[in-house]
Amino acid sequence: MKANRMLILLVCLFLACSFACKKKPPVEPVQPPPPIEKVEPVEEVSAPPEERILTEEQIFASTDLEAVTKEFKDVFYDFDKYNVREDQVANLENDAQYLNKWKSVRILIEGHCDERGTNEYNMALGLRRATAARDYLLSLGIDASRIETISYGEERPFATGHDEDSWWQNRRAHFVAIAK
Amino acid sequence: MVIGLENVYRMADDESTREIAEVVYDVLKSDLKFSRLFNIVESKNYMELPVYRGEDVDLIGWKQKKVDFIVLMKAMAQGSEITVEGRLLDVRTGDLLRGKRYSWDKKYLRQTVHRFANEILEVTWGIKVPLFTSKIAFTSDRDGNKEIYLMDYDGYDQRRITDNSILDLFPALGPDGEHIVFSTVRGTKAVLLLYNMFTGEKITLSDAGGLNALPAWSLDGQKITFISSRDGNSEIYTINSDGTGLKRITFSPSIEASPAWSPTGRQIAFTSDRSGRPQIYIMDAEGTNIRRLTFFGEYNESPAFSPDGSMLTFVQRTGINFDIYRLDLQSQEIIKLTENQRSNESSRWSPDGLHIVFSSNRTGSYQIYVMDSDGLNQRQLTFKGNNTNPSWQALQ
Repeated sequence: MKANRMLILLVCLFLACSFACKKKPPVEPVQPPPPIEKVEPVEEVSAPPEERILTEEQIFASTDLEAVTKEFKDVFYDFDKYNVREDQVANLENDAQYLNKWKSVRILIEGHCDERGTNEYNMALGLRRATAARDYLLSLGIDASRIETISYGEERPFATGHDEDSWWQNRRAHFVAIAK
Repeated sequence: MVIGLENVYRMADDESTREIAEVVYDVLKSDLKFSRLFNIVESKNYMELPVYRGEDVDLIGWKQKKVDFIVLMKAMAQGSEITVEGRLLDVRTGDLLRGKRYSWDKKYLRQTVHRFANEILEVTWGIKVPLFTSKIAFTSDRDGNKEIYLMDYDGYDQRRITDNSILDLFPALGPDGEHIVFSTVRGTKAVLLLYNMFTGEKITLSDAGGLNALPAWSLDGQKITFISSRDGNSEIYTINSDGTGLKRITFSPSIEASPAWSPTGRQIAFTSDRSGRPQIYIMDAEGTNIRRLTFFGEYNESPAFSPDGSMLTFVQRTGINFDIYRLDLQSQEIIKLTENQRSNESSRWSPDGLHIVFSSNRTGSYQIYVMDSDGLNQRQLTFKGNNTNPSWQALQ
């Protein structure tokens, strides 16, 4: 706008000068037409409303302990054994990762046994399975205060058959979330 | 020893007295038979349960049958009460050796006969342990969760004594006949409870760590040994039965389980996998002087001392089966008591040392069985649900 005015002023000055100099008969000065502001035919588009996307923290806050429990993978053992098998390490790493991510989660590790063996000894064996899983988590940096252990021996089988199809499922350390 | 069973005489000629008399005869006969200490001779017309019309004992006839003692019972029903009278006579002299009358509530009918059978055992054999009124505690899931139950030694009168909603395990009846120790799952722990069966009073003996289980009494009832993970690993502890004097007695990174007190109270047998496999060991009650007792088989577990301390029963895995064995601690002789019928577990001795109670899943479900200490006369005592972990105690 300013530039336009300047331009008009300059043009006027020039014209005035030239008239003054040439002494021509007075002519009505012709003014250039005023610049027309162009109005384009576009619509204003407002930004789309933002969806309420939950953060991981919000999701975590809204889940119950049962759902948290499902994030854990149980660890399975050989007959009469309580050492952590190589093929079970990935499960424990998954569990440690989850515990590392959600520091408020506390868990109970239940040790279980198949029906073979005395149910007295299986009580102690189940405890060892639970503590073996716990010790592995401790070695991955999980704080001991977040893990409790119990043994159910052969008292709470997951599968009730009387062959290996059931037995392998019952030789396990089962993870249960007890606080979050 | 030969014992003659005289007729059970009816003191009244009514139907309920007849029913009572029948029970009296059956209980008396099965008690004496169970003991395996008598040859039993029955009177010719014992089935008649005759009405009593004064003394009419044919001592000469009994003498001819080479009978040493005769038992003469009388019975009567009076509404909710019963009267049971028992007499033990010496056949040679005709002397009355023991006479008792029980006028009790009808629900104690079997107990009156068991009582008198105890008297017979005492007079004839000098056995003071009241075997026939002894009780067996055990766990059962017949009502859903495993709870603690009690029954007479012969399987009668099975009743539930705990009412926890989760799990009650490993009952051990105390020698005082009043207390029972067991494990109960409370929250995230298995805790050890001392329960008074008469008053209902409960004392928590150990609730630290996740596992407190497998209790066993000393013979004098002063102490209890058990396993606990209160220090991390499953170790063996002892505690006074009033809850004081907790003491850890094993210190090993291996599994320690199933402690059993020797009758003298000086030693504790237990299971350990310190050799790589579960085997039975014995140590002094302070935890010193540990020695291994079993050297054959890959899996030996659940030791139990005979009341005289001379023998130990335990469970061995044999292929796919678990069987009960008996080890003579002096001669080292080993006898197999059960024969390849799936899992036979948790053997415990009768108070008189002549019988053994155990659990077996030979029929498909776990049930409690009793056998003589040589493995003979195995008979099933429970039939409903799964029943395990018997504990046998003579109640005074």
